Amino acid sequence: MEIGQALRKRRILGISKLRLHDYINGYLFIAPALLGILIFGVVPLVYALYISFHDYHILKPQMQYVGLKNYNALLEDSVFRKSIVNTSYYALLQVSLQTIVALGLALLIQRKVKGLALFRAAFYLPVVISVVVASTLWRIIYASEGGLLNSILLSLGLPRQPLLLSTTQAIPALAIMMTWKWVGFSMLIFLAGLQAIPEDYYEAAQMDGASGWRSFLHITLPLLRRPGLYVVATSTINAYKLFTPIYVITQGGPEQSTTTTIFYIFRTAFRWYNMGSASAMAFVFLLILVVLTAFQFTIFRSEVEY
Amino acid sequence: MLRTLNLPRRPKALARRCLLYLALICSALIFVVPILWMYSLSLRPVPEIFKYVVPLCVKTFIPETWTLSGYGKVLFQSPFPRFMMNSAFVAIVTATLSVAVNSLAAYAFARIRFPGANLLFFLLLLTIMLPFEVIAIPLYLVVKTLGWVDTYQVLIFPLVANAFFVFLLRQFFMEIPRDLEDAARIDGCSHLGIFWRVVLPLSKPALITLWLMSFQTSWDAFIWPLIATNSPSVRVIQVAIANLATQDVVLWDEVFSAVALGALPPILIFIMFQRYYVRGITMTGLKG
Repeated sequence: MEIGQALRKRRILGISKLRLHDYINGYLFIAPALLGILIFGVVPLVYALYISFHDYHILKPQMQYVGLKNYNALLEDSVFRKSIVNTSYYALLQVSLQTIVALGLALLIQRKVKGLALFRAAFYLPVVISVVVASTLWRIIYASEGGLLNSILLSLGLPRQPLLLSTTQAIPALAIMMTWKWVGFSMLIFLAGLQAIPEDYYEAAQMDGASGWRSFLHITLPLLRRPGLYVVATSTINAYKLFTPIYVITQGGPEQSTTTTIFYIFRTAFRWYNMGSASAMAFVFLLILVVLTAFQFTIFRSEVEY
Repeated sequence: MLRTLNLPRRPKALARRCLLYLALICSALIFVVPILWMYSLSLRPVPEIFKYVVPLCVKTFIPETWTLSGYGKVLFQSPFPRFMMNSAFVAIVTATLSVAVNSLAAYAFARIRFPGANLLFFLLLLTIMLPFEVIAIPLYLVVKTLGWVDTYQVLIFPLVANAFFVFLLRQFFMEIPRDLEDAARIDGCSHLGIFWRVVLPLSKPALITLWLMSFQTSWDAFIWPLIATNSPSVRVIQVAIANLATQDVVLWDEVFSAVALGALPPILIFIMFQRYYVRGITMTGLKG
């Protein structure tokens, strides 16, 4: 402590040279990270905004200013609208499913069970395989002929389902697959939250005669608000970005029923080379995410503080 | 058996305990069985791959004839090993650079006083939420003008700087007692010296965690390599697998061997370093 104070004194007395040294060091230390984020994050973002006001086909070198034309065209674009509906529907299903299952699994292994590490590893295993691998695998699990899921349904005496070939079942099927893939991550966050709740809260509740269900409702859930917000907010953003399984499995079909916004943006940009329109879509997409995230934060914050 | 599981003696409590384990085992199987099934598919000869899926029986999960022919084709008659090496190289370089660059910045934000530090840190935090997908198109146009398409650096550099990592590491560094550094500073140690000799050694577990997270992100990356590379010489494994799986005529034995091989490194690393993954979550300080 005293050494620290003495040092601080010397710094103040020795002044400008030492302080200048600090400034230079500070900027040098942050320079690589800041430059990286600037060049590969901020510059492209600004450039995207710029392009979105232009007609820009990658094959034609000339970029032409067109004002809001690209944005206006989106209002008429029924596939773009459908892609937003599809993505939102998927996100709603997937985020609810993932949050509930994650909480359930965390509650299951939070009890003092033998082999906790083993169960935790099992739930987490799909998180470490890539989305490309998971998509390839689930394409076979979901195959209508010769798929594992239909085989299981048949052996239980249930009828065969079209799954990814059906306009109504494809999105729920994808939501289940991605929940399988990611739920282990959310589960760990809930588990950390649960383990941080002091044991005496429950003991006090038990002394007051509260049932297990009531202490879950009045102690556990309110205290899980922060991890809960984190799980919901991050998985919503991830769900909205759905792309890889669409590219690997459905290619947006059947009948555009699985065309997600990001998939449509990429098709516009890299199959039709319409960069202006794709950039406008990307901005609308970003706006939706910002509004959604802000909305989630307000909801979780507005509840009574404990 | 019952005693080792710590089972209670009262029948009602015993029944609840059994139910808990039953639920745990069933849910664990849901997560593990598909992956094991994937490996069992990769070990079958072509005609047998889909033969025993319907109706459900033991052979659905355990191959009748075991073979490594799929692996042989993928490893010795295709450029797949090259793709795996590309992925490994890109992921290792990205993770190492990422830990270096972001920990330097985190140290400055945690320990060095300089004008504008708070503002810069706040602006940095704003970029955490920015989805890569939104900037991928203009980023592609930028790297195209730089002439970086089909290079290793295009796969590495955009993934190095990471505002979230800077944030996490800053939290971590701030919890290291200052006294240690003050002593070092009295001895005439520079910031770089303190960073290298005091702060980094004390943060080893956190750095390993972030290295693993970064490695995983880079190994799994798909959209960016799909856009930014075309040539087989820099092709990464995820793109190679997607190409195999989306051909008009899919060679399933090769697909499953490729998928099984591609999933192996992350699974092995996870099994070896499991505790660092759990740590990564608790590091985010989301304890309630």
